[in-house]
Amino acid sequence: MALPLEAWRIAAEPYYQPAGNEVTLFEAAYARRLPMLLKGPTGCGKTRFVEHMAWRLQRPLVTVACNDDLGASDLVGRWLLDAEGTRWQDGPLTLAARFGAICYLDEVVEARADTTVVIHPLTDTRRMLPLSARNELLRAHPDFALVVSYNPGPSTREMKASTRQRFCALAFNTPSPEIETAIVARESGVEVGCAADIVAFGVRTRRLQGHGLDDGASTRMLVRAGALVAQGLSLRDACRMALVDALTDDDGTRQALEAALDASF
Amino acid sequence: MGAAMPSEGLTMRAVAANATASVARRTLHEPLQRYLRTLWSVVPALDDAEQGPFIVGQTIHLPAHRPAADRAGAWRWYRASAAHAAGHLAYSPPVFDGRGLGPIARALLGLLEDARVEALACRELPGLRRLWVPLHTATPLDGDGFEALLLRLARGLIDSGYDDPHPWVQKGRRLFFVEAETQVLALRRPEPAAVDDLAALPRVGPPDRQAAARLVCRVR
Repeated sequence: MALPLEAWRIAAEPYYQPAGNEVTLFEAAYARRLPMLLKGPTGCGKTRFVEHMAWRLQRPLVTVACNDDLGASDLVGRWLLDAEGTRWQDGPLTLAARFGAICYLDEVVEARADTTVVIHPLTDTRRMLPLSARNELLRAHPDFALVVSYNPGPSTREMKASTRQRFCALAFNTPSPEIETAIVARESGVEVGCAADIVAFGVRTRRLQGHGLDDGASTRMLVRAGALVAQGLSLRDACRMALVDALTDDDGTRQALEAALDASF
Repeated sequence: MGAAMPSEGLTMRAVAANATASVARRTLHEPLQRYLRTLWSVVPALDDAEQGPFIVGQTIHLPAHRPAADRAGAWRWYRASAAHAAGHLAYSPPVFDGRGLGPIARALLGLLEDARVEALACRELPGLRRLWVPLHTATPLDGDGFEALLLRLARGLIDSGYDDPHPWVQKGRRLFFVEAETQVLALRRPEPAAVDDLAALPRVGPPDRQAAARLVCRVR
């Protein structure tokens, strides 16, 4: 019989290039099972970091992509009706708390506030999860930990203070050009020189943040551009597909980015 | 773009003769500003002028209208002009002291600074060369007058595929490209020796001071 959550274990090391001492900081927080909040621009490596740390700490990782339709029962669990009658099915949060996984709520601010409050009893000294639907008070496994993430920005929902203050936080940023080049080369398979050119163009797109773009190209987008080059496309075609046309529909901004692309290569 | 302007003037007249419409700079204002912001993080103001391009402070002045056969051609010209001017904001010293220099020396210094800016810009943004080279159209057929030689030298400094037979143009290239062409000449102060060396133009007629005055780059 398979052990619980074996399917959620990460078998191979996920590649992650540290930007600072975030690995040490996270390990210290996990040693005390402190809930963690990861914040930073989209595509800068927050999820990859969580995967890497789950592998490093040898814990299963249960991930939930939060959205506006996510209800409390989607996290906690619900009664199901099948041919044999009713049966309880643990939600991802309950699974993680019951069997000692790391539960990762990605884009936590996208969930409604009345949904996210269910995590409160797990994030303080009680470390428990009331399952009122089945009259159970689940005490969290000693290895359970909660990690949440979001992308700060002017159009991002605010997290309730009563939720936010339950977490320790790590701030992520776009990596330096040198580190980002190494990431793009490693993840896409292109040569370092080509990766550096892609990163340099990515840096140029970020100069339009607040001037036609909400955000410039993320590291994830640059990796995709590199993957297209590795697949045989020219640098210009790859960057146009993965960056320019993906970033904007505004004619003026697109015209400027296309011209910058022409100047870059 | 000072030294390129008379040739560019010829080009402009040729384009205007074939153009059926002009494109207003203001219709390209927003993409042009965003374009410059991506290149060097410079955010100059853009303004209209009767002629141009030229820089005053942090403002780039461009012609209000550009005769062009199509909008794409006008966009390409405005990009080239604005990028060259923005390159000066990125790479040139804020003030170049040209006091005591005659018009020929000032024209030469302006030409060399234009070429230096373009060389540095092309090193960082190699695609700019494709934008600027077509604007340099001088050839030996333009003659050996002072103005024509300056334009031929300007072309020789940006276009590695252009081989001008005139000894003075060749001398200018040798002086400009140093250390096996990995570096270019940078004159931070008027250096009489270098300028006098290059200013020793072959005797082709009375010194064309009016031509030199037309070509004086924005040394301020």
